Amino acid sequence: MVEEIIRIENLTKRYISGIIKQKETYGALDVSFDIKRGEILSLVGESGSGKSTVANMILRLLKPTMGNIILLGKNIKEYKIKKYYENVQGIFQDPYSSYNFFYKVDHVLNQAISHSLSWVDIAEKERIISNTLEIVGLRGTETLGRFPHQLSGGQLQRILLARCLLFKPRLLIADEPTSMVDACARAEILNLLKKLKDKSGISVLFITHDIGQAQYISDRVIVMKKGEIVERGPTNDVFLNPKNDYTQNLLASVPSIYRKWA
Amino acid sequence: MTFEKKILLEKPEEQERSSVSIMLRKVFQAIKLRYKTQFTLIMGLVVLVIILEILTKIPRLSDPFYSYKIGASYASNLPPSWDFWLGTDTGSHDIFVMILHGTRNSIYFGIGCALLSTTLAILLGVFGPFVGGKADTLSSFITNIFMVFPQLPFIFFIASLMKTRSWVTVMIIIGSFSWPWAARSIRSQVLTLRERNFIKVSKMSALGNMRIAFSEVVPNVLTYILLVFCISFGIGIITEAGISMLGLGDQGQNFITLGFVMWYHEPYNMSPHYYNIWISPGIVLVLIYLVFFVIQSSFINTFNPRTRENK
Amino acid sequence: MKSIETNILEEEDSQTKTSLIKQRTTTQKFISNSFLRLVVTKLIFYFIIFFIAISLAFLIPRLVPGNPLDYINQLGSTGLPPSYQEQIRTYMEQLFGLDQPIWVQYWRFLEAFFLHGDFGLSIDLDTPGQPVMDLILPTLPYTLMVAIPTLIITFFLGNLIGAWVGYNETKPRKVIYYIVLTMGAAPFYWFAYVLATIFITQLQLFPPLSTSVPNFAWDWAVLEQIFSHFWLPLILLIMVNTGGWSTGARSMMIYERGSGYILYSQKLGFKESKLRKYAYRNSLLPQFTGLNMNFNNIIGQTLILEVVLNWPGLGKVMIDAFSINDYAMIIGTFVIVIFIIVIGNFLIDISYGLLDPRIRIGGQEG
Ligand SMILES: Nc1ncnc2c1ncn2[C@@H]1O[C@H](COP(=O)(O)OP(=O)(O)OP(=O)(O)O)[C@@H](O)[C@H]1O
Ligand SMILES: [Mg+2]
Repeated sequence: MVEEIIRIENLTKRYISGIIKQKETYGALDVSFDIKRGEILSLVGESGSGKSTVANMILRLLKPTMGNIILLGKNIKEYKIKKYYENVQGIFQDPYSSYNFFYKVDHVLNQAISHSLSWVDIAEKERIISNTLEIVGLRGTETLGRFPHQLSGGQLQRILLARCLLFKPRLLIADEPTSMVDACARAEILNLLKKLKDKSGISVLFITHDIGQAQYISDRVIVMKKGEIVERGPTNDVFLNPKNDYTQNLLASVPSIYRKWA
Repeated sequence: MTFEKKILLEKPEEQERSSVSIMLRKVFQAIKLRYKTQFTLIMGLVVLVIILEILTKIPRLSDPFYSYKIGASYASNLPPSWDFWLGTDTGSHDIFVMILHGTRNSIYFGIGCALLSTTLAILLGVFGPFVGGKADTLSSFITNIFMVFPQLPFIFFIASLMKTRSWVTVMIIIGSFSWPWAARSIRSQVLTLRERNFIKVSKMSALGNMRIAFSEVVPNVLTYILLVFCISFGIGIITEAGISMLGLGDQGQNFITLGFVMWYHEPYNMSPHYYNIWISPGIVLVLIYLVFFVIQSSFINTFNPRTRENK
Repeated sequence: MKSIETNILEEEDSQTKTSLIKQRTTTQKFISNSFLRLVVTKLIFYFIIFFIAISLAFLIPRLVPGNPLDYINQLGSTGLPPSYQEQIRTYMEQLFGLDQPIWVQYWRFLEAFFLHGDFGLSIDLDTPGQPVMDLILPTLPYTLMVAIPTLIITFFLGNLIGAWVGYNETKPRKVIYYIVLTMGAAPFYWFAYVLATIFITQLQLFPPLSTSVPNFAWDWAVLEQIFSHFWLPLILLIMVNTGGWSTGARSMMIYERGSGYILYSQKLGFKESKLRKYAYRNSLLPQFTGLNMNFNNIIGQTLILEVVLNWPGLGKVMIDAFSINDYAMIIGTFVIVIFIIVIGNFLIDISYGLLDPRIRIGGQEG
């Protein structure tokens, strides 16, 4: 049996909104799943189904209301922040808002490298950065020293991916990394994630609302609706033989893409 | 800037130093970068510096009512003339000289006030939301209290109780009461920034909250902070003038401000040509206000990323 | 090593947990549902503020250098007749327990205010030995009769001007807007001099500043005199405070005008007058939140203007007391001013709660 990287148990997030009259919504309700080493797990669902909520909780950017997250057999509350982020990293949907417009794009890389490799010398850091950029298919001379608005969405997203790789993580949370880039860059990013999985054994939690992409990239699929998991299983089982009405509807709404890969 | 240079700036030894110095250096670099592109801002600042420079060149007089025309014996209530540009008052004081002193001191006063209240506003507006938890609740509670806390009556109250008031005391009183609106508006900016992804990215680089607040958030609300500074400056000068005009200002009489000039010439003991006595300090007040307004709006243009990109 | 299947076994357990969560939040809902909650929270909040202010009114005179309260032992220098001196000293010492430890003094101070509404006796030569509260309360209407109309008039006037300019930015409208704005930027006490010169010295529309305002009485002649003094501070405060509202309303209106529903309804051919009404109303509502601060500002401005324009309100009394070191009077006026401000803010908050559907019904929060 393959090694389990992370296990999520009964994860629940309740949002309370309203000033006088309060109202609660469940961003996630009793979500449980696990991810194994070298596996790409897709989290699919319509907008507002709680995918980002789950991702943010795993990335420790949001406190769960209830439930546990266990990384490599240890509850994540027991990890030091620094240690935790050497194991788990993430990229988000909107590449532009992931950069502080006040700084050049190097800023995110420098932040990452000064954290994870603070002891190596400058020349070495430079080499590491350009190597990592090469992995994601970019050249330092073309991207470094520029401001975010001078680069394309696809380039920005790949620099962020490079940033994650600087930590050498075991798990990568990719929250709709492809939905704001053009079709060409989308394919590149998807292939990149696949390559990372195959070559470095990185596990990926791939979040998308695009069933085609999920089908293309993942080993297993989880379908979410209104914060709850409604269906799960190996990719082909779920997509070729959906048991839940919701999943069937999702599939029906994207017939052409589905058929192409089926 | 080339890649190598950027890396050089991020030397590990420097990282060990406090995040404040790193942030300051980065902000300084950023400002240097903008300086090249913005002309109005430089001009505004240059004008300001020149004015301040001229004002400091006025001889410091231990007795502020002592005219620079030493030895000249002149009458009280003189109309404007070549010798006394704005005439003299009932106490034979040269009004023009008083206004020069008043202008300089009012500007100093305003800057001091603005520094104090902007610092307080940043502390409560930026760090509150970033430390989070109890500190956040506390800072927003304090802001809310000060928000409705009547500052003018309170300033009146303290000032009228103090037997000996120096201008520093008055400055501290005004400065420590005029920040809440600024803290609140900075806070609301910070709250929207806090949800941006780049904050999440910094968090995933395991940076501390303080470090993130300084290096990621503060540069983004810099325009806002400068705006707050300029407005606080205006509030400081005008409040001080109002208080001094009622005779609640500095008591040492070594620190004439524009308000003091007006108080000294309150309409009850009018001299025959008293209009130019109180009109001129008021006009100077409005002018100072306007200069800072221009600087403030050019700041907005300079630091707004949208206008920057078009360059 | 657990896999997905084992989760099914735990399902029962987690279901009870979630139902527990749901149960708790329904009870929470019940409490938070009412408008009463707003009233109670605000009541507590403003009471805390008032309490802090009262405590400061007690503490500051004892903290500043040259303890002002020593004046009671130096009444000889005030020129009061000795019988008054004796009366005032014994009364104040007894009321505030000035020879007792500080916490007893504090307790006495709170007691004196909350139970008896008493701040001691005045040492003013015109009104020696009178309770300061009796001197302060008659001045209260004078301050309020200027401040409250100003608040209401400027709110509507300023917002209407701002919205009117923002709705259709033609040249003449903009000129009016900038005039209003400039008036708001001028220092108001200085502006008072300007207006006094124009209206009193030059046009002689109002009585001179040196004539004093008579005490209130139900008599036509007296009322006429009072009102002849009343217009100048009112006009002035209105001119100074309109600008602030206009800026806000203008940008709100520009935002409204650009927002989807107006453009859409225009395309659908809705009546212009109806649209304008909606746009005005929507750009007015957010402005209500500014009322609190504006109320505080107006009260502060009124206090200063009363001195400049010789209007017999709280500010005038306070400054008069300051010039003769009548500390009982200073403390008394301060507390009364705070009291007005706290009550005013409370009422504003409550009426805002009644107006805003988001507070009335409850909605999204970040
Ligand atoms: N801060 C918040 N306060 C209140 N409710 C929230 C908050 N954040 C998210 N929600 C709610 O939680 C639910 C899940 O949101 P989430 O962002 O996780 O959805 P998502 O699946 O990522 O959607 P999308 O595909 O649009 O990104 C939504 O109904 C949303 O309204
Ligand atoms: Mg999402």
